[in-house]
Amino acid sequence: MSFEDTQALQPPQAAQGPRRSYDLIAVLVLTLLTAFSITTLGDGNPLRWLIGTLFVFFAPGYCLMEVVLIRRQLDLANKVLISLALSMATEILLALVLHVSPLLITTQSLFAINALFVAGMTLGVLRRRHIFGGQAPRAEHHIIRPNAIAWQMFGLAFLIFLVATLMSVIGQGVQFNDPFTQLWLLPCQEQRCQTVTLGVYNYEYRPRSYSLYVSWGPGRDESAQLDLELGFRERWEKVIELPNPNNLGRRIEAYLVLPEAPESRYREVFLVPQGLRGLDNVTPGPASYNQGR
Amino acid sequence: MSAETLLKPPRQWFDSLIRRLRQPQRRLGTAPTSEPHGEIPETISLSSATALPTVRAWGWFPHLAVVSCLGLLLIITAYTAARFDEPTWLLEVYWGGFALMVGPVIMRLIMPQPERSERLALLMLLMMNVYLFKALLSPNYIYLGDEFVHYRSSVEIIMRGQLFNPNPILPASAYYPGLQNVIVTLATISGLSVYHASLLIIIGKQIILMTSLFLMYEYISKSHWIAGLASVFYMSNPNYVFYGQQFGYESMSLPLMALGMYFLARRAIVVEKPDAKIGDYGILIFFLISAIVPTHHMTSYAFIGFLLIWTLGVFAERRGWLNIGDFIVARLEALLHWLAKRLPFLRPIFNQFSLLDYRSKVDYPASTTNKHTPNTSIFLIFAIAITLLWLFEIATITVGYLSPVLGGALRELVKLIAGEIGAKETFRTIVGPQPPLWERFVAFGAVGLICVGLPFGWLQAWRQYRNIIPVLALIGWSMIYYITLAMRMTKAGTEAANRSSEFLFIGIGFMLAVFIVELILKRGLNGPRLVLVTIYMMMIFMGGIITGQAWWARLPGTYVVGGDSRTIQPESYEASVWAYTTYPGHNNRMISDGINRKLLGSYGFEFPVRGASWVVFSNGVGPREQRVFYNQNMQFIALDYRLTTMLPINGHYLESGEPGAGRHTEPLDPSKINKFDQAEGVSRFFHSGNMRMFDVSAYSRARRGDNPP
Repeated sequence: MSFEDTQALQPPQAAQGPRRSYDLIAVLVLTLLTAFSITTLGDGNPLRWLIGTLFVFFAPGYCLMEVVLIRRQLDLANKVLISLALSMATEILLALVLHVSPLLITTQSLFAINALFVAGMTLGVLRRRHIFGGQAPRAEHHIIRPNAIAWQMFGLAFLIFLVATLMSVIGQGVQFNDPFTQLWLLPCQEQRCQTVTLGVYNYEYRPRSYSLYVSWGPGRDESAQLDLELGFRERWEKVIELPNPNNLGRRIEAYLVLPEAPESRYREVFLVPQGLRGLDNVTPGPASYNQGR
Repeated sequence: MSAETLLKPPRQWFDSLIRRLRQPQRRLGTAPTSEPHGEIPETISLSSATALPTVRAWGWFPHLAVVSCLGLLLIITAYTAARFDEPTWLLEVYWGGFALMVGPVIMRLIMPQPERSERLALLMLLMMNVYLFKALLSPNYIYLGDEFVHYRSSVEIIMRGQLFNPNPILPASAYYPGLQNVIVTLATISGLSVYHASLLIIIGKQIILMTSLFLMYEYISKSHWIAGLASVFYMSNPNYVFYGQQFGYESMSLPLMALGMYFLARRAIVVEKPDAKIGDYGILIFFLISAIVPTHHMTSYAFIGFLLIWTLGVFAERRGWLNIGDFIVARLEALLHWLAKRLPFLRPIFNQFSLLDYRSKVDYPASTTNKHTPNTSIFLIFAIAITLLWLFEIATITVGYLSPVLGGALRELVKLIAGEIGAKETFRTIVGPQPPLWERFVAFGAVGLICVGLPFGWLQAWRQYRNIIPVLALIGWSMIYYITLAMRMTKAGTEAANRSSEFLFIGIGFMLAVFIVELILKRGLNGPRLVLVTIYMMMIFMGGIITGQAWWARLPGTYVVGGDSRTIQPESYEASVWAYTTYPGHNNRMISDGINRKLLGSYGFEFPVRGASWVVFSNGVGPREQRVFYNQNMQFIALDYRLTTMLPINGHYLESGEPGAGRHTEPLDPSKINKFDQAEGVSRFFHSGNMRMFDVSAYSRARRGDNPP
């Protein structure tokens, strides 16, 4: 586009005849594509991300804007702004409508109510355009295309942005502040079962060898030992059946030992018996009672 | 664009760039006096129409995009370096990057030459980079207070399929589900995760906010020059960068409020068709109010306040009470002339600020301004009615949540005025090292500069836009700023004053921009003026950053107790993920320290209990503690052993009501955590080095067979 061309641009003129509704066709196509993406594409599909985002961000608001502000002469900035904002306001109110309806808030119900809203508004737009066809100003937007230098600058800026983002994401991901290993020991959740769940998770930023000891019995004289080799972010979990039912009422301990420091316990967990003498001292107070306040 | 142009070798475009930069610079020039929209007169446009013609519309935007992104890259470099080491010079890199990211864009916006599209593009660039400045501090996890709250609520809506699920981190937030509704809709329909959906929503919200403000300022001032600067001033408010851009309900409702204000302005000044009906804007304003009320309480109240001021303005206009303002301005002008006459050395100073020869009023065509500004009382009544309905029918919990903040602020303000209490010491963290002196200077300087600029803005806005009700409403709105400054001198008032800045700066931004453009720049922009105004704006912008974020949180780094973003580490995060995936059930009632409470309450889906933190500070686990476990139906206690290594930088280890909060002088005694290892009936079921979780469910009411609460 030459300099003269840019100068020749005129402000938007009022339309002389009824408007073609290509925009509404685009909105309906977007709605159908969204329906297609929800039913056929998985959550991780980038195409669904794109289609769904465009639908949620623009479709309801654009239709609402076209219904209500049909007589206003709005430029591109105004149209984008109002579509986006009204879409979000619409989502807020439609979810409230769903909440008071017998339906649950799910993907299907949210899409259905949005699609219904868009369809209703589209009919409204068609009606309003029929009524105000001659008065409605034609949308004329003038986008000055960047020249080669501008494109190259945009490319460079985008490249810098990309480097900055990647640097930040990776930087936080590999922050070597606290390498750690998790060890857990959970009792069985059912009544009087003879198992405990034992697990280890390596977050040491490198593969690790561990020796895992479990002990139980009156003097913790019964025990088992297991050697583990876990990679970074690898998790090991096992349900262990205790051989003697009498052990249920006794303390169970588990601890990890590192090969390089066999004398010390690297991580240690334990379960105590559930039947407690001390519980008799606990006198229930009123529900709101709180010593700390 | 021709293929030939596209395929131009790099060397060639580099040469053309150099050629363009070497072109004789025209004098920055006299400001347009006859173009209300700030268009460039042909005489000061490009010296040659043949030189890169299409860049004219884009102006310096492409080049400034590169410069601003380089500034961002410097900041991210400082962030990344700080993750592994803490050299003292990193803060210089950080602030240098910030100056490079913001400064050139502001400088360009100060100039009269840019066209509307360039200004809008520059504003979007600045908005985006400022957003990344916040987001890339922690790109992989949410890290600000409200984000945990809304993450939890959003995920819970998806899991349960209904709204208003109890939120243990901030109970009141569950009854304002507007933000969650949008997030859930986007996440479910697009298949994005809640975290990534929130990132997109925040960008969308920022676009709405900044574009609404720009268009509103432009609409009422008829100048995109003023609009651009006013929008930048708005971005300088202390809550814009970190509070306003977080995954929080206010950042959803504020853009809707800004759009509502824009529609109010369009309704008040109908430019397109003088005889056009304005009901269509009214419908949308009702629609927006209906969306704002279920989204955020404070924004609803702020919008009601703004509508009240507007309605009073209309009321005053219709009864001719605005003549009082005319009288005051006339007396003030007479005083200025008298001073200039009696004290000649003042005349050049006054002239520098156009105080003696101000421009005439903005020439709105008579037919385009409504004869009588339409009344807004119907919106005010509707907003009050729907807000009260929501407050007393659905969100009754908000009364207890907000009344201590607002009531306490007013009480302390009255006591301060009465001299019953002294002023609070500002800018002081609880313990440990204090912020650098220069940062304090800039923060206070920014407030001073705003205070100095505002009266000039009011004066000039009255002179030029006396008949434009939206401007009068903004004048009234910005006047509240001085009241909030007084409130900052009290302890309880600081919170209320903090939360008002993002609303008040809508008016303040416009007044400061009118002051800068009409009184300084339109006398003719030369080098010294450009530098002076850039420094003025940069200082206010930096003051906003310094005030809006704790100084120790500027850069990421090693673990700090009570340091929010500095406290979130992989170990705590993974512990909360473990609680969600492995620990039996959800919503287990538990006690934990500050950040782990948020992490376990959001990612972990547990139910942190407030008010029972004292059991951690007691010397043993006796009957009193056991009684609390029973009454609160407590399941477990999760504590970070690093609490014993340093004092909390925010004054408390677990919660603000804990024993000794704000007065701790020594790190937490390790015996306070170790006591749970020896306590009868308490198991340690999780250990990851620092993180330890203790099962106390043996004492809980449910476990003992009593009816759970």
